[in-house]
Amino acid sequence: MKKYISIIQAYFQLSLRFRTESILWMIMDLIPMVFMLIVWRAIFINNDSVSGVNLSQVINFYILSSIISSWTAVHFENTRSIQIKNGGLDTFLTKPHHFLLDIVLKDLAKLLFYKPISLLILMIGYVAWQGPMILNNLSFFTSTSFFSLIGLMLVAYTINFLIGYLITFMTFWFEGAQGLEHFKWMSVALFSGSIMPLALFPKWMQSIIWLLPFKYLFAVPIMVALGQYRLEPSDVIYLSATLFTLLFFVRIVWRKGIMKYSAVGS
Amino acid sequence: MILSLKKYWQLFSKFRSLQLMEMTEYRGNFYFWSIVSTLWTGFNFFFFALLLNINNQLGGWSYWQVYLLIGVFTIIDASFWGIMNQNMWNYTQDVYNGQLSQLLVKPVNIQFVLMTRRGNYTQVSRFLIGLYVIWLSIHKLNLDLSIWQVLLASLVVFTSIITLYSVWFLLATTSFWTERINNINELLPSTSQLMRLPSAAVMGLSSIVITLVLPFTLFATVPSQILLGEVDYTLVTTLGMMSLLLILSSILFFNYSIKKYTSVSG
Repeated sequence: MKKYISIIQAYFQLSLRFRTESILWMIMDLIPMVFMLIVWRAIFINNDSVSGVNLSQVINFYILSSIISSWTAVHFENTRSIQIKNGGLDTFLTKPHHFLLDIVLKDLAKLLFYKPISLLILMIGYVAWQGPMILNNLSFFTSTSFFSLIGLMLVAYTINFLIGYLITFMTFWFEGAQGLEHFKWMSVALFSGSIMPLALFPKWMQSIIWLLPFKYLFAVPIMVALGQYRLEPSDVIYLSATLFTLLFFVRIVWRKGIMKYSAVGS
Repeated sequence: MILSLKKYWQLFSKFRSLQLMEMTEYRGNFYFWSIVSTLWTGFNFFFFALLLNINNQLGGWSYWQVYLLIGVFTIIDASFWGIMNQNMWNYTQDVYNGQLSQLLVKPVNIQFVLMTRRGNYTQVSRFLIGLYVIWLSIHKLNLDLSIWQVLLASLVVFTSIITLYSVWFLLATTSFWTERINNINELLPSTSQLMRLPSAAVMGLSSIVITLVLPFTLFATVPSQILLGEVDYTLVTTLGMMSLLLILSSILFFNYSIKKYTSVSG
């Protein structure tokens, strides 16, 4: 346990060393939300509501989407793919410290620095937007919906992590594997319900989104937070099946990849 | 003067042929990234199709007028990523790693070398898609264009690219003065997404803030308005003067910053 804490501390210190970079990332993470709010404000200028959704609900949606994204998104695919390509995996294969665990520990270090500050900025924005109305919503933090939201965010984080692993492992076979994270971003953006409230998608797209597991990354957590959806036993079964399937493929692909891996040594 | 121009033209051609050789050597990589960039372009158009499906207009711009704007944006963005991205990245890395000295001893203008040594042919497909969408929009809107409109719109697109380049170069040159900030080159591409919006869609405080910082929304809007037959010569002149001012500023700031540079000696 002590060695894991030391590793997390080391990565945490690295984050502090490059704090300007971290702050810039936090600012840039807000830009898509600002862009979308500008767009929706233009759409709602002549409409009180669109498909039963009003501007206030849209703003709530994007703030929640940003909060969920800041805590559940992972971005290690590119750097770790390059690390494998450049033979950086060697050091992990000879040490009693697993490569996959190193990725987890580095991300946990971010939880100590980057993510709380990012969340604080978003929460300040949310409180400023809601104003006195926030006092009416305080009971949310003791409700079943709040704990369901926390649970769903943990699951979303795990799903993102497992998909990130699979993309990273493609480096064992493909030269441009780090580009696969672009496919992930596109798929998540289109099919997770993160780019706009689900009710505003065309019906055919809503059906597709509802079939795929990406909905648990954004659409379902947001709807749970807004009190528009309650988790069913079928959701738990679906999520469990998704997680087990991803875990299964991660194990298989890692084993096959490691057998294929070769590096130049001195 | 003519000999000097000939030298720079030969250098530019050499860089391009080296890039072409690299592209043909790693064909798989080229095809893969061309597909990725084409998919992102498609995603962009699809996203606006979803928005316009909800509301038939955006900031007073109709469906095909918005598509015309997105087509112009795609051309600017493809130039942005194709010409500038890799060069800016290499420039800042050379400053941080002390490798800029290799270029300082060359008998050519350093800024020219920094900005032309690399390129990205994977953006060609995006450029062509942008041209196609512009042509399609003109056809759907039954626009009767004059040569003057096409030339003026092309000139404004060119000045927009120059302006964006100058701002990006100014940002990248701050690497001489700051600690290592690897994501300084992500700042402008993130904020430049605002170019996708018609300027009329940006209202209130956002409009004031965006206009004061950099009028991103004008870079694609003004050429689109020219093609739509709404020429605002004041805006065209303002953009032209801004591009001149910024390019001069980028040259002066670079020449001033280079005095602060210390390299790594072997």
